[in-house]
Amino acid sequence: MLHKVIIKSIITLTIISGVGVAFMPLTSEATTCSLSTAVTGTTSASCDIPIYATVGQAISITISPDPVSITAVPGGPIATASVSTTVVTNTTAGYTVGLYTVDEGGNYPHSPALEPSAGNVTLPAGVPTVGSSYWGVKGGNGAYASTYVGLQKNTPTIFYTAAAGSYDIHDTSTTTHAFTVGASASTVQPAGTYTGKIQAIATTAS
Amino acid sequence: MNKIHFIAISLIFTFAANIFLVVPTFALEGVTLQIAPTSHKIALEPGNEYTDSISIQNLGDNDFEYKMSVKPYQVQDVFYNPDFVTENNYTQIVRWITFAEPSGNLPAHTSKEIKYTIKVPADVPDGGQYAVLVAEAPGQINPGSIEIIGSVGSILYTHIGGDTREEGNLVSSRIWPLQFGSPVTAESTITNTGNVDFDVTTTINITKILGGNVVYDNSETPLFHTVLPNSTRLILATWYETPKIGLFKVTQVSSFLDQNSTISGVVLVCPFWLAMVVATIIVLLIILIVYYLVSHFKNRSKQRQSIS
Repeated sequence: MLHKVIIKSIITLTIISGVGVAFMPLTSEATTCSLSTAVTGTTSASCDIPIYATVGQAISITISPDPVSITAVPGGPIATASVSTTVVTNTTAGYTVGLYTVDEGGNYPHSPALEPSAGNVTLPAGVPTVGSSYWGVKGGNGAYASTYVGLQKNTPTIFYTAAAGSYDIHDTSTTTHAFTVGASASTVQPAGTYTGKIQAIATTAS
Repeated sequence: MNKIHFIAISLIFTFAANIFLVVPTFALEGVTLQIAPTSHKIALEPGNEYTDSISIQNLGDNDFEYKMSVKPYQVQDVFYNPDFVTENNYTQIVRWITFAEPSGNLPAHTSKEIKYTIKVPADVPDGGQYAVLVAEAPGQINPGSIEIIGSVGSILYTHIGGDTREEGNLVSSRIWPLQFGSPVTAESTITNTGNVDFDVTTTINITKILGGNVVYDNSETPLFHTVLPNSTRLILATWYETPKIGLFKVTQVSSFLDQNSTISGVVLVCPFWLAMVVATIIVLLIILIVYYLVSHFKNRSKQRQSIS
């Protein structure tokens, strides 16, 4: 008796999966075409594809993910999270991506320490080290490509510099640049949540 | 009972199948913000008002609240890493600029023209004023996390009418004779000693030594670099499609103000490892020659001593 139930279930699952697979491309289309989407029947779909015509020089930035969360264990290893920045520009002069810490209102220069949700002990900017309390960033192609740096209050940290002609806007390997945010906590660092803001700003190097 | 089993098992399978099918299609993407143009060059007069606009675009799939701001524009070093913090006599313009709509909603796949006004005071320093108009897409704010704000800047190069001095000089030009693969570069370093910025036009021409064919020439699309007052800029002219090995004549021409500078040189392009192998062989040969000569002279002196 039970095997009949299982056979029926498998048949039903096959039908459901088939229908699901048939609809799956439509689901993808619907999520990727976010302007106006029209679905007719069950076998065809259409959507408006936005077209941008920018006359003149332009630069764009994409940040992913946002925000980043790091869980550092007191006395434990350096906890990390990766952030991806994608810069696309039609200028040929090159571009830079700088990192700054900003305050609640988005203003800088700002003390780069992460603020605690309770109490007044911050998590200072610096080079994360096992046994010490610091947070920092590394990545890009500059001086901090492989070593952490604590963001400074009055000195912008340039994390990526693209020389003229060194990038192709159609090749994400030349336009996407990752940086890592790392944090470590000493055994006396109060447990809790710490919050901060980083502004990544892309400008051309004309 | 059997029907209940049947429905339950079907629902479990259906639920599991949906999880695996749906999750990837709803993966979130980041915010994408664009600004145009990337720079403006504006002539201003003391006491006057100037109005213009810039365009910002939300190229992503999610609406967001944009925010505009003005920051000073200076540079940190000869590589022209930007400095949006330092304020001096050349960044007073930061206080003269206001936006018609400094913040607001920017729906997905839309663009917006942001008007800005520069009110130039009557008593301002002569020369250039520099700032960057910044558009930002505030990130997500979660307790216990670090918010990442994506922003793009449009640089303002302005000249205030009055006693402006366009002065500069070429500090150095250099073409390294041995370069390890792509890109081949020629350098020039230029200092601005005046009180306004000026542009440097750079062209590079590369020909094969054997055959004389031109393999790269950017004279149709030369490089333009702006040099700010009181700063020195290292300008690199580069050729990226470099073969792994070759011998080339490189000619670079830098033009700015009323000056032209031309530098030429022969460049050997080869992989680093090959250069190391050749260098090692040369060093070994030198050691062998020295060893041979020392041995030779020792033997001769021994022969002389035995004869005497």
